[in-house]
Amino acid sequence: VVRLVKNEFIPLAINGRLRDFDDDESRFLNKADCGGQGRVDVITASGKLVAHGELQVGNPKTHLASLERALKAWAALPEAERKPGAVKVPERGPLDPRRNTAKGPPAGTLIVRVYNRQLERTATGEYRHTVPEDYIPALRDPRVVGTDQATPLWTQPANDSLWITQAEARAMMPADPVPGQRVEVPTSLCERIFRFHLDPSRGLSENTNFAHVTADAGKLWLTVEEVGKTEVRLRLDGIANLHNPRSALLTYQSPGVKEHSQNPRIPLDYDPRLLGYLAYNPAKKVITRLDIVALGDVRGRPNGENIVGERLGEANPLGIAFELVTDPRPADYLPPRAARDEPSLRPGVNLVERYLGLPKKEQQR
Amino acid sequence: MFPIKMRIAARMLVLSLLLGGVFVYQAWAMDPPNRSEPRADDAETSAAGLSAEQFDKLRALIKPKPGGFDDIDWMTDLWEARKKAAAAGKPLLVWVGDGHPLGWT
Repeated sequence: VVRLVKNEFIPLAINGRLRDFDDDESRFLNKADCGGQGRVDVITASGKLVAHGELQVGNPKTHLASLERALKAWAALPEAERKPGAVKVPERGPLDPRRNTAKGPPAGTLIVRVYNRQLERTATGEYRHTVPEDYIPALRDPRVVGTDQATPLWTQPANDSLWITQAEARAMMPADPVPGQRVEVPTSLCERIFRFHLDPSRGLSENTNFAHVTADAGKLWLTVEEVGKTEVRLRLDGIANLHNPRSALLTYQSPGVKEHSQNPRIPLDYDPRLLGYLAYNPAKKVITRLDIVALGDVRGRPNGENIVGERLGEANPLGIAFELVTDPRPADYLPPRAARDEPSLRPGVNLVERYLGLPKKEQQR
Repeated sequence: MFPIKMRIAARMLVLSLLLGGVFVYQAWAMDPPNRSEPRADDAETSAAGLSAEQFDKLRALIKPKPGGFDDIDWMTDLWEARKKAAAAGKPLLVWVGDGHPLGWT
């Protein structure tokens, strides 16, 4: 599937909510009948729908077959739709100002990929990927969830990105490092990580469980390990104690939860330990490596409002990996989940400003 | 490995069937912390839970395996993608999420 996509298509990933605005992009997507939730569509550059793809998470053959059908339909189109250079794409008009989308991070910002993955322990205490049988029975029952593809989704990692400001990065590169020296991770970065990047809901919901916490919800610190002329290496250690009382659930729980959940616990807790490695070039003052792993048990359903991703047992491991992006691709410039524009959900709130804590003039490059 | 990201359709179906609650969440986010468990004051003694030996193994376990949809250079600008498709004479494969599919949640 991946090879076919790379060779035969121009792959484009977009937010389906673009259809809700009033600009050329919205009109193009609506006219092409492209942009329904959770779809893969094949269209021409002019906007003609070629085929709807089929998403079968646990069944790549079905997905492959749908792409092959789309290619046959594409081949049957007149050359005016297919020939290189035949379609002239007009200039794009102004975007709907309500989109207010950050095109990328402020200059000098580090981009860090973040992967959340639910894990399970083996009988010998090692960690492994989850399997469908690790989830509550309702999630494996197509009569309840309408698909047999639900649990395979959650055995996979979810993805997000973390932005680290230039000032924060500089604060983690001491001017005269000495082995054993302790370097505090900036408070603003600690707070951002605790609030938005250690969340058991990532990959399962748009919820942000710990947006209320402050930097004292944990500690992150660096220790200089090696000092060289071209590279200084530090180890990162840390812990977080993250808690969401979810008190709204005391008065309301959805019918789906009442009927199918096996976890009566209302609060959500995640207390991960963190270990990581940072390296920088002392002459250039550039961070060249930042890898962090967080690991801890989640207590409580990962989603309060529903049973999505609910596991068997009272405490389930969640691993989160952070990895510095050194060669960013277009997708890496997408804002982190917590800084993404959602005017329909949070009108008037500048999420980038909230996420980074920067004055407006510094928000976008 | 099957695409890690190709999960939106099933996810949305699940969400719709199991009932959403973003508005319930809005209230949670404002809840003050209220817990009796130990806080981060003892962090330095308890942070010893992860070893350097575990690090590489865990990192590999958490990240997606190479060769999946993460290896595709997804474009994110509709107009730029249209221009590229027109110039190359290729169809657009448009992956759409409720929110952005590359990090929807």
